[in-house]
Amino acid sequence: MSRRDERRRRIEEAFAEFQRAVAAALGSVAREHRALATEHAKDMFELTVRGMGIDKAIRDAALANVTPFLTVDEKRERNPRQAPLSMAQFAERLAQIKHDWHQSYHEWTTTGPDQLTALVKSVAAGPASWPHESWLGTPGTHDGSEGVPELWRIGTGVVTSAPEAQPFPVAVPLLDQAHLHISSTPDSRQLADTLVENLLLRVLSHFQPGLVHVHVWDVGQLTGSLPGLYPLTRANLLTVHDPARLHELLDELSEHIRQVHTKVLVDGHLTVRSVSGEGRRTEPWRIAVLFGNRKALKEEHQQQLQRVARNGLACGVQLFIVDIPITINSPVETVSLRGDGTATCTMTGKHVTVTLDPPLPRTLVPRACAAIAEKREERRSRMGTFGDLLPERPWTENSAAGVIAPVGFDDGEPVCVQLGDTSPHALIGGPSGSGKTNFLYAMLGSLCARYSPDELELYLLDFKEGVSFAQFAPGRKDPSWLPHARLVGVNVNTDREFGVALLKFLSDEMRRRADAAKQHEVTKLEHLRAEDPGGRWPRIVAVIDEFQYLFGERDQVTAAATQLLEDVARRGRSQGIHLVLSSQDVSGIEGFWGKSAIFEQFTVRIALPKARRVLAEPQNDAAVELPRWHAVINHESGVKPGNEICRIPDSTSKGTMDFLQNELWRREPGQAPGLFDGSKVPFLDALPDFLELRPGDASPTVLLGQVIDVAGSAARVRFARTPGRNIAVIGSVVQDAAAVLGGAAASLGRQHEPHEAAFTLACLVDEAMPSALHLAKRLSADGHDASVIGIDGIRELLDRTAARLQSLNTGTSDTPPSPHYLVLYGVDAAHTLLEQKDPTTRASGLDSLRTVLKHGPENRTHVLGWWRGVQRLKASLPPGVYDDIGAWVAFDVQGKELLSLGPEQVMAWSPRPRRGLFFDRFEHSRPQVIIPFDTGEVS
Amino acid sequence: MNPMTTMFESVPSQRQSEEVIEVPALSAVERYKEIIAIATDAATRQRKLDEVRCAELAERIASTQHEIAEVRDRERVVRMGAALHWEQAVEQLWDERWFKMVPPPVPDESVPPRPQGEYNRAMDLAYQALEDSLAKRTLLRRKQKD
Repeated sequence: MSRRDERRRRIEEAFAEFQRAVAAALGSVAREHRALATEHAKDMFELTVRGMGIDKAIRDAALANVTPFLTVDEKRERNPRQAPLSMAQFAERLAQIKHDWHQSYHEWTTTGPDQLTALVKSVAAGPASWPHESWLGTPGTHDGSEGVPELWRIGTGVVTSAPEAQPFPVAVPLLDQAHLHISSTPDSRQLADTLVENLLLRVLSHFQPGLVHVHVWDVGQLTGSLPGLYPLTRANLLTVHDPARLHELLDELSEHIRQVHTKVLVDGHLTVRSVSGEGRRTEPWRIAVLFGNRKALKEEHQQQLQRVARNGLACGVQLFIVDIPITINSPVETVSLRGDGTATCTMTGKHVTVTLDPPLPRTLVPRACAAIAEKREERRSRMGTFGDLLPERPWTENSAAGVIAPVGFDDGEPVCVQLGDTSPHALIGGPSGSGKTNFLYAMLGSLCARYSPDELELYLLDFKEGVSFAQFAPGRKDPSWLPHARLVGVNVNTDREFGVALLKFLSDEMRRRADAAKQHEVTKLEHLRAEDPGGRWPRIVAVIDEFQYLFGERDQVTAAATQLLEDVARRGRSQGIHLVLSSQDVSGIEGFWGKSAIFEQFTVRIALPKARRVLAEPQNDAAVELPRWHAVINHESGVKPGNEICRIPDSTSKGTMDFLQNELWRREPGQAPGLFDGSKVPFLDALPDFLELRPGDASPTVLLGQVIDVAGSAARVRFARTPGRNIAVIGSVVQDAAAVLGGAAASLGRQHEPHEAAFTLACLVDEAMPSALHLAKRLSADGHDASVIGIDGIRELLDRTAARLQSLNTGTSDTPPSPHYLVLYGVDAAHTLLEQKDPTTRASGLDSLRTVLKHGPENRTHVLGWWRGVQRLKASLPPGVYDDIGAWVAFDVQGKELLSLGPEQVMAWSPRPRRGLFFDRFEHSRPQVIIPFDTGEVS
Repeated sequence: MNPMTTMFESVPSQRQSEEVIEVPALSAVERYKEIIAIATDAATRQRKLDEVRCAELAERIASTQHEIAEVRDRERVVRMGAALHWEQAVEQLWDERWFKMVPPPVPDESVPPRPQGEYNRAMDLAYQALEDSLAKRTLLRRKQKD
């Protein structure tokens, strides 16, 4: 190779090397530049996507779409720009963002929509959430006892920011839980109407027709809003209000809330729902739909609406407020409709887009409403029968807080009477023939079917001769009785003492309960029952029909009755003792209206047609035009707003109350109620007090008759060996006297062993002979020495007895005194005979009688004598000294004649058939009325 | 043995009985909103995540822009140096009529990553080498003339 070539080669090589070095230097720095630029672009991309939010970015036109305008280079290279989201260089970043996104929403995506679907399905079955095909047109059957659907479907929701669009049901709480506020734009107002209509139809179709009432007010139109619902107006289920009269609707709702507060929300309940508890809804819901025009209401309407909203939910008032700007201080859910037809909702928050359910088919809505109205009418027109008052299963209610039972029907809806702490006592008024007995039967039947005898006891007293309560005690034809009845008093008539006795019994029971409560450191029966769950503390309802008899006269009975009534009326409420007083005419009963402490406690007023003064007249004259078989039930002391008018079903015909009584009796008869029948004579041999008598007591007990008390106990005198223990019967009728003497001698006979005691029966008037002989036979049959003497033997008997007593007193006889009873019939008939003096001793038979009366009792010789008048008795006694007669029973003598024999209360006595006034100066402070026994003489 | 546990009586257990604390049942509305809250929480979580990442990115973007400015400067310098060298080389090779000139080389980005200075130095050295290869001949020729 030449030198020149050599050089050329070296230059070429050096140049090539130089070329490479330049390319490398340029390439290295260019690459570095480009790498940085690429990284920067990726960062910018990620910043943009994340800054916007991936959910929005993937829908963003600038990021997702390719621009149609190409640059010159792009055209030349035929390589149009790609959309950033689909550029390969950003794929990795995009994948990472998407991964984060899926991770964030993982829990929601996997569980959220499914859980919501399941939740709505479980709490909103039936019309509350199902598609309309399954329910529209079929009236509902729920009465609230199975609870209220907690959610009501309005549409479908999607979480727009989530990676997957999974739809789920959107539902809102309604009835009792939250109001609904809907705001729309002019474009979406139609959707608001649809939403309201759909929801109303769901609610109306869920419940029994009548349980939901709808009120519509639309500021813009009188008619036309919710046209599909119009058929409901004919059943009074829809009320459309005048656009200019919002105040009327608000007043109506406020008044309703007030009434619910005073009538339904008692005993500490805060909501209608808690009152209804597990049972049927007692108070219908009222849904008020208010359509506004996005302008604020007048200030006063605004405030009233806020008040209704605040207090409405607890009282069953539900508001649907459409396009009225208002803030509400109670639970409310808001649905905001956008112009594009979608919505957001406070149930789902801002991340969920709600698509409302489509409108129900136009033609089906009016038809469905017509079906609901028809069903409602059918229910309403159906006559409620006695059977409809009764619950499905008897004896399931608890009376701890009170008793409540339907007594009649208003438009097919039951109307209840409630007795509890806030409505303690009831006053019933209705002239004869107005259906008072029928009402009482309906009330008692309804109560007894609900509450078991351990929850409710009845004391039933009827003064009238009509005998309305006799059926509840075992009778000859029907052996059954009402298991709840503890006492049934019929034909009480003039035995007003029995009414007092009942009140006394209730007063004592009240005290017993108060003591028990005090021991448990509580004051009310409800709390006592909670503290003493094992104890038996039934509520007591005492019904006194024709109670005006109690206050019939100005005497001690009225005074005692008034005092006791006041006591029980005032304090019975907290001890679960409730009075139900009824009368033909309560207007003039001074003992009742004279004391505000009494009548103010009778907050439950029940007026039957034409009843006077029971309701607060003259403002409340509802009873005047009341049709037959109807009653006004008023729990607010008779003021007009408290009126509830209802029809009382027939409860006295065969197959009603009698059938129920028989059913309940078969179920658990319990103990038969005590019966006091004023027209019946107590049978001595059936009296527990008589049957309990046994020999062995040194001071035998004499039973004179039956006292008028709740227990039906006997009037007793103890024959101790003390002066004065003789008994006088005063009266002109042999039957009364014989009954007392017979009962007394027979009871003495039971307390002596055979032949231990001697009975001498002196029959001094002829008409007493059968009684004397009957008694002698009875005593002899018991093994006693009983002899009957006539008027011819009386002098000898008395002289002999007096002589024996003298010898005992002077100590000349050493035989111990044995019991000797002198039963003298018509002592005064022998007066003339006894006045004759013995020519030798100058002593008269009268002296002997006085000796026997004076010294007999301490020596076990007692006189049971009958005098036919007070003066005649006094004539037999030493002048002015009457204390040898320690006990007496007076029949047909005037009270003032008895003044010398007893306390001043005897003054009030006026004779009445088959009743005696009994006084024992050793035991009594005041006399008692007794009923003489039937000793079996007639038979 | 731990002195702390022996010095003090152990705390008596607070609940002796088997009683179970009643958890009040949630209403359906509360339950519904609870489930919806899963989505709301997810959205919040995602936004938070994005915010944190965006802040990070913003910081990085700022520093990258800085670096880009630097590398752009550096690139300009390198290009200028290369152009200068190239111009001189062309000038020097002008006399070599036999030499067929070529256009300046395109940057070769496939070179292994090394500090730029090394490449710059390599370029300088290559130019030097080229110059040297040309210079010897001139010297000779000058000698021949003399």
